[in-house]
Amino acid sequence: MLKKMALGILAGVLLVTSACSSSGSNEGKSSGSKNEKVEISFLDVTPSPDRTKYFNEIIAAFEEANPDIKVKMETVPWDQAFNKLTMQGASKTMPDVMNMYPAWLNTFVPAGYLEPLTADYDAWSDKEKLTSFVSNITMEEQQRKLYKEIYYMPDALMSGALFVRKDWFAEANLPLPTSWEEIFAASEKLTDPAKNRYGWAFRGARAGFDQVFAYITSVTGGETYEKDGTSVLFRPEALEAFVKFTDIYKKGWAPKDSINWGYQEMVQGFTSGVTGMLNQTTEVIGAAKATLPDEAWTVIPWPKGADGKRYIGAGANWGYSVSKDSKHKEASWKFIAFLSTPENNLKYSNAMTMIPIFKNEGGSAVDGPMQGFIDTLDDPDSYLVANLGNFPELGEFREGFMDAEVQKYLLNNQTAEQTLKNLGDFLTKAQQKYMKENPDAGVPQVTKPEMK
Amino acid sequence: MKRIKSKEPYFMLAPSFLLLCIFLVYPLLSSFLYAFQSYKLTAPNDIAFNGINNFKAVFQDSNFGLILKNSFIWVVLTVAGQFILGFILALALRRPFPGRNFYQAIVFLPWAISSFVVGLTFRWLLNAEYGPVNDLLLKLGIIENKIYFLSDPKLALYTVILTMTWYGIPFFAIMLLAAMQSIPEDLYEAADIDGAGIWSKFWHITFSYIKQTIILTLLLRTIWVFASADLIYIMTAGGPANSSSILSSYMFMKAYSTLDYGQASAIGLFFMALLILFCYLFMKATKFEKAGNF
Repeated sequence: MLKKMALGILAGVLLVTSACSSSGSNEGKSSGSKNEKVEISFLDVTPSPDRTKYFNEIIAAFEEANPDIKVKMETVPWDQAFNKLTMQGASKTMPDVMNMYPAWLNTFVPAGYLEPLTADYDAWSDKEKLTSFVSNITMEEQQRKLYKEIYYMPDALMSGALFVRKDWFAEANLPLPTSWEEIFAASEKLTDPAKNRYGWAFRGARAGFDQVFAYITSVTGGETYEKDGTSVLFRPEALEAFVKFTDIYKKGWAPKDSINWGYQEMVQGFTSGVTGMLNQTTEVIGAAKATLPDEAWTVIPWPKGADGKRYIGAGANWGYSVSKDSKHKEASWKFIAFLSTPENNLKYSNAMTMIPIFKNEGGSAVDGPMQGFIDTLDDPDSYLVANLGNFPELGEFREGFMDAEVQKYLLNNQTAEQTLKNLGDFLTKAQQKYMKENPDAGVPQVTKPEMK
Repeated sequence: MKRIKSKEPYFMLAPSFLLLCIFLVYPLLSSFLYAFQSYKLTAPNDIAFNGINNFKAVFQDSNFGLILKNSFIWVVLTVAGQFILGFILALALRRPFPGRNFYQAIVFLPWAISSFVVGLTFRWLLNAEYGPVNDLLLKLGIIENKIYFLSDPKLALYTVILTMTWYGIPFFAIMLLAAMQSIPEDLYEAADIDGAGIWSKFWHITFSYIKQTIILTLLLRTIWVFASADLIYIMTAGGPANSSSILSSYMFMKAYSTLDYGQASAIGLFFMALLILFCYLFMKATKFEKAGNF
């Protein structure tokens, strides 16, 4: 009997322990000890075959240079990345190194999920070679000034770009658009449902409001808030712009499906020949090259607004950050520094069609189309749009609230006035609360990019 | 020794109880607590009790009426569709015919597939831009314009219901077929001698024999269908603008898209109360304890 009982207990214990055992690998060893191999995890938040290939190569080179460090790469699709990282942060399981979207800092820094890189950055040998845009705006204005610390090393710079089907425009005898008005006109003219062709790649979901807001800021002079922290969405011209832009969808100049489109679908919509114009960042050049013949498409500078000025979003796409809970912070920084050497950064920028973070000293290093973007940004008429704010609620606003509101309007369940009021109220409340807590913060400003 | 022996069952049960506590009781209790807290993952520094604010926010949510209505439509149509079609399938498979085993294996296949695969497959099939369904219908001249199965707010919910129905037919078919095969054959022979028609044979023998199974499977299936959010999440993510959200998928969205665990837990509690109420009424209405006592 006793024997039986003991067996029973043993089996029970075994069951429970096997069910609850965690894979406890490399627990809390100090990094950098010579004969210990440390493993750091790296998360790419916007995977594509090209990126994965690049990172595999760079990781192999890094592991060769640092035989005691192993890098394990993971990926998460862009549309789910913020949620995944937020949950990992809350459960203290963030990867050691990750791609950080600058707007997420508003959520992750107050939550204490990220490790400051200030000391490492300040002592970094390549610091002097950065372009003034990166060293002044990305590092100081957008990080140290706001958060008292540096939290990410930018991977490269990108700017908004307009992808157009040259051949469609030629067929329709239309000039390539240089202003928003011409874009709206072309959206209508290029649409031909019988051929399954639509003028504009509309984005209705997963950060779709960014696209609408890009047009709204062209009529608000790039501003996002009044001096007292009230959202510009309450301005009458913002309402007009909102209606005008969403009419692209309502009037059928975009596929009906596009109310559900996120990043992937809108890019596919363009590359598969369903839509004629796409507002995306420069990294999409690679995807377009791979699927469309060169003579069929091109990238044109960002359109100018009614006041003849160009209000453009540009900045670091992502940055490399280290998590607060990382057990191998030294090895993590080593990896980031390796990713950020001038030659690796150039390789990365060229592979991803983005703008490098370093001054172009040798010349001729930047690929053809990218020089065009740099010139556009350096154009006297170009200004950087003010951002949406730096309050912690921004994550909540961006990751669900804003698109749901716009969708209600697109489906005629809500008036445009009500939609902008709901959006504006959220932003105003959050921004004013933030300004109360940070009296010297002020509102986000329109700035002049300095790319040289 | 004797005393230990009398405790033996508890020792035997302890491991499973422990696991149940870890994976069921603990999450249940913590979600009960979250429901009364402001618990947003996006603001981890502001977690605090806030009384019934979450419930207020949920019930005042402009989508809530729509979602309750959707949940009702979803449960009724899906369960009814699965049950009727499953019943027909079971009746068809009752009598042997050449190739029955092979056919049975094919039609029971959906039940063995993960809902993710089902959801992704149907999402691709019904896609308006490159889905084969639209393409075939257009080429056969059955429709003039593309049907936006998943992005039309009027159709999205019904499209998912259709998929879910297809997915669940085998469950009823398997269960009812098993029950039918336990009916003694001589009952039918006796009925034939008495001159019973096909309809009265079905009603008096087949149906009354498997009544118990029907009641049990309907109850189980209703609970499952009501609580299943996975297909909706994969196919439409509740969109466009919540037109295809039901309570369970909305709760899922609240937890994993807006990361508002407090409100998600409040919906969860409400959801649980609804289910308990439903089960109680259902059991009362069908005399569940006495079911099958002829």
